[in-house]
Amino acid sequence: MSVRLSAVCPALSAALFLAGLVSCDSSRMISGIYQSDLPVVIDGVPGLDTPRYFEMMLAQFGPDITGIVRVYDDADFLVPSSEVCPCRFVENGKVESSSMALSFRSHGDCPGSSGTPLIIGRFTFKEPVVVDDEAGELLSGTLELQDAGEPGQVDVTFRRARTWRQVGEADLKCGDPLLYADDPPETGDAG
Amino acid sequence: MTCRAAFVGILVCLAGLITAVPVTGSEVVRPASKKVILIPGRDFRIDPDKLFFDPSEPPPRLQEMPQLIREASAVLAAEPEIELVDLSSGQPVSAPQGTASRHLVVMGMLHLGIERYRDIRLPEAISSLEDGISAALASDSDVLVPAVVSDLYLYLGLSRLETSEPDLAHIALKQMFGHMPERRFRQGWFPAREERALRAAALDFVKSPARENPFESTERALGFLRERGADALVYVFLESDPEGGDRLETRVFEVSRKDAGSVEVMRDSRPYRGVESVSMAISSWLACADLPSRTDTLKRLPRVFLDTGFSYSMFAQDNSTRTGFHNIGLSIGTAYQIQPGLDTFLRLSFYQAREDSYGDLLDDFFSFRASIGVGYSAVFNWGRVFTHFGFEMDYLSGFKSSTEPRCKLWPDDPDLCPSSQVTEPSFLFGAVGLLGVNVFVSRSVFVMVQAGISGYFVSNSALVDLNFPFVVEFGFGYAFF
Repeated sequence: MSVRLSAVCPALSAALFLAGLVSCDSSRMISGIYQSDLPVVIDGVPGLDTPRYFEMMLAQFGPDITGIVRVYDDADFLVPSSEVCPCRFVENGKVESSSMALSFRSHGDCPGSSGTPLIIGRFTFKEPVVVDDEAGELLSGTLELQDAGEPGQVDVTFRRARTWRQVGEADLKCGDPLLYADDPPETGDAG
Repeated sequence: MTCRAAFVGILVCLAGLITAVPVTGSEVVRPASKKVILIPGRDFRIDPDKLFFDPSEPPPRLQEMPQLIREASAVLAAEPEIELVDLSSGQPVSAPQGTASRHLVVMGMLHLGIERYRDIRLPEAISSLEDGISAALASDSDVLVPAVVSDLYLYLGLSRLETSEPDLAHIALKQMFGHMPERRFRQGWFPAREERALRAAALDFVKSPARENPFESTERALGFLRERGADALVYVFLESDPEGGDRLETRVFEVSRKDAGSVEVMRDSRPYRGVESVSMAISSWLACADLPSRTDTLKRLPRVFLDTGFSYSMFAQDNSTRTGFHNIGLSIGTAYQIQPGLDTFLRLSFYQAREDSYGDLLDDFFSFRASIGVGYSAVFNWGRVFTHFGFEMDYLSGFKSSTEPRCKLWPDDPDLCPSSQVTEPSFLFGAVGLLGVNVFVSRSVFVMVQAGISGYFVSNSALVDLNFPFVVEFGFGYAFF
């Protein structure tokens, strides 16, 4: 059973409002949706060894980061890639100051894709700068396949397309029919 | 001084402070006996037809009022808790400091006025007599020595008649009867014009209501009592009953206990049946008077305290979130003083949890906390200091926490957030200790500040997750006596 705030007297709401004014939200600084400026190629990963556009929906909780990495075929981020599992959950995302590291499965989180190597991203959060006449927060860093070493690192820059306030319920879903279907196949690889 | 010595010193100071605190919630104040002044009575039963007596007969002596006053004095003096100041003799009495010479002035002005009247120096006579009357009013001689003031008015009236001011003479002669209605005159002593004027004044006086306040105003009566440090004044007078017979009237002017700046007047009216009437009247007042033995001198202190205010709480031990979370809400509490030093309390608090900075709380939640117990409390005039100890129950409505970030983003998805990663205590039960103070800002309204800590030993979840909440509260309250 849960009692909601609306059932409490208005005075309590006023007290909470005052308390809310003094609360701090700096621990959500990185949260939002980021899109890669340029197509990304990661050698050694089927489906990603050709140019793809990456979109990261990131949610920061203090020192932790979670979210979803989506792969698109076009620069407008309208066409989810049909050749790879388009949805990958962020694993082991960590934030320290303005540096961030996260990982996600190279083959995605579609059924049957668990256990595939991780792609590791290391980024630095940058305050708003003007790049190509567009202003926005940037995540600048690298993506590399697990155990690939420095030669396999790919430089990437992500620009914040939406703040956390602009993230909706649909953005929190992978939307992968294989994952969310009523009767998903037991195995399969979107790639 | 070593640290140990300093510590011992602090303990000794605290012990002294505690022992200095009164352990009783009340104190008894024993006032002195009630100081009562008895002033001369007056007999307003005037028969204008018998105003003048035959010179061949001895002057009538009206003895009833002196008997009544003696009886009243005896009844008052018999009451051990009455400190009687009998000023009823009608003779000059020792006056309060600074006023001792005033009566001499009155007497001097009277004699001077009489001399001037006899010398037919009427304007000077009138001036002296009026000054004498003013001095008499200032020294309360009109109340304590009414015969002298009556003489002043008599000669003032006679002088006014000589100066062809019959209206002013009538007023003066009427005042003469007001101060000494028992006056009778030898027939033929005054010329016919003066006798007519006296009879007319007597007739007018009889038709006028009796003067039940010899001071004219209660303010002056209050000043009289204050000047003499008295609590009450007894005044007795007789008057004719329009329906036949006589009535004994008794008035007691008493300084109000509720408002020391006012006077309460007790009125007793009864048929006059001799001295026992005054005895009954005085006894009737004494029976209900606020004598020290009957007065509730217990200084009452508040018994019930009701307060409400803002409350802040945080769990000192919190393994469910990494940074802890704040609880802000309202509380309402009551305490009942069972006996001096011991009270019982009930406290209800409603909190809304604030999201922690890491978002480990999966949702804001509402909680209800109730505590009940007993405690030590010292009640003072300025407020109350208390310590409360009791049991406490904390119901956490919808509490869910996790340090797993996926549980924060997808709390309802069992695939992404297994229930094993979520902590959900709902009920916590334990003991509480509170220390607080109430400071009165008016007789009943007080400001409340208190702080405390609880320790839970029963829960529907692992106690190690959430325990030892401390609380700070601030608010206002009302004390019931």
